Amino acid sequence: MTRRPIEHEALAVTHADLAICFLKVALASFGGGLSAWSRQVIVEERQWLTDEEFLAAYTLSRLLPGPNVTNMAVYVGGRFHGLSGAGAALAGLTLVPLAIMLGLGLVYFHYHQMPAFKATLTGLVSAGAGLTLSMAVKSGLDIIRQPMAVSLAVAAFIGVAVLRWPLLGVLAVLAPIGMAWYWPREAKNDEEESSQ
Amino acid sequence: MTAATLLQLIMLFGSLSLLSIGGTNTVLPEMHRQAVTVHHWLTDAEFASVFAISQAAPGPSSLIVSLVGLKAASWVGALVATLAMFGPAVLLTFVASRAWEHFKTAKWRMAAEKGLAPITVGLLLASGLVITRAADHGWSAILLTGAATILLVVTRVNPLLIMAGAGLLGGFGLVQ
Repeated sequence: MTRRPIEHEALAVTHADLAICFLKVALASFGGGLSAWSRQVIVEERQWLTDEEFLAAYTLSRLLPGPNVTNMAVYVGGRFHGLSGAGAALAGLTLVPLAIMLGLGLVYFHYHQMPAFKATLTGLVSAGAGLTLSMAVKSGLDIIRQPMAVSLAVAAFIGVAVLRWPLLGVLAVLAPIGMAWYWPREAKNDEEESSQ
Repeated sequence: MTAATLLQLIMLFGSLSLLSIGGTNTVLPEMHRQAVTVHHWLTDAEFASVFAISQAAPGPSSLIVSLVGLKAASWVGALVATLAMFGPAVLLTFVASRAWEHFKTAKWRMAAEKGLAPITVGLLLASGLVITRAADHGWSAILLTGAATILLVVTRVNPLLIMAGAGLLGGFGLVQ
């Protein structure tokens, strides 16, 4: 799949591209599924990150305080254009949604009763949950042939969903195991070559 | 609206910003306690509705703080609450992500990237189930979530079409 490395220097990404990309992510996320949308746009459409890079950055975003996708925007924007890039991505992600949110809030605080509005929300939120699930399934299909990767994914799922451990606890156990397993082995090959 | 209220908004959301590890949902209970029980900015029912709006509206659901600020201290309150919630976390993330980029060729960074990816898959699946459990109260809602998931995985249909369809189904009262 998208395993090839991406040369970021070769990608001509402007501040406007960053703002528009995250505005698109934000506007698409009616009913939720913001993270799923950011994967859809950043990995599949724009191909700014590989799936692997995205997943690692996503877990970093979750480890840091703040909204996950906001952190993702700061990371992606900062990667291309430093602080101003992070600002452009953030502006795209938040300004229009903020205006929409305040509009909805004003309507709500004025009228309070909106049965049809509430019913529409129910439909949107249900399908939004499907967006997040589909993101997990799509990324899962990529690693299904790697027994170690599948074991790590299953262990993480059990830790959070079944045992209800806090995220930090699950990562404290699994991240060292995953890192040790995937530690780059080029150095070893170099040694073998030099000894031949 | 008073200067004291604005200061309370800054203190509350500025600290919640740095405590919200794993996303805003982790600090929702504390936000609820402060906004409803301690400061009486919103009623319990208002908080629940504002939460539903923030979940469904486009963009980060942490923009819920702008609605809490709006109710507490009008437009200025909305602005102050939003800046206080996003500012500290954004600055911290920027510094951390620059460091992450700096160690791009380090072995531990490559190992972390490859090792964290499969763990994230498991975490995502867990998040999906938690969201489904919170969102879906009846069989029709669960069916809709399942159908949306399958359509998104096996077809290349634009997800927006699926969301539009789901909104319509909901609007006609077919999703309980």
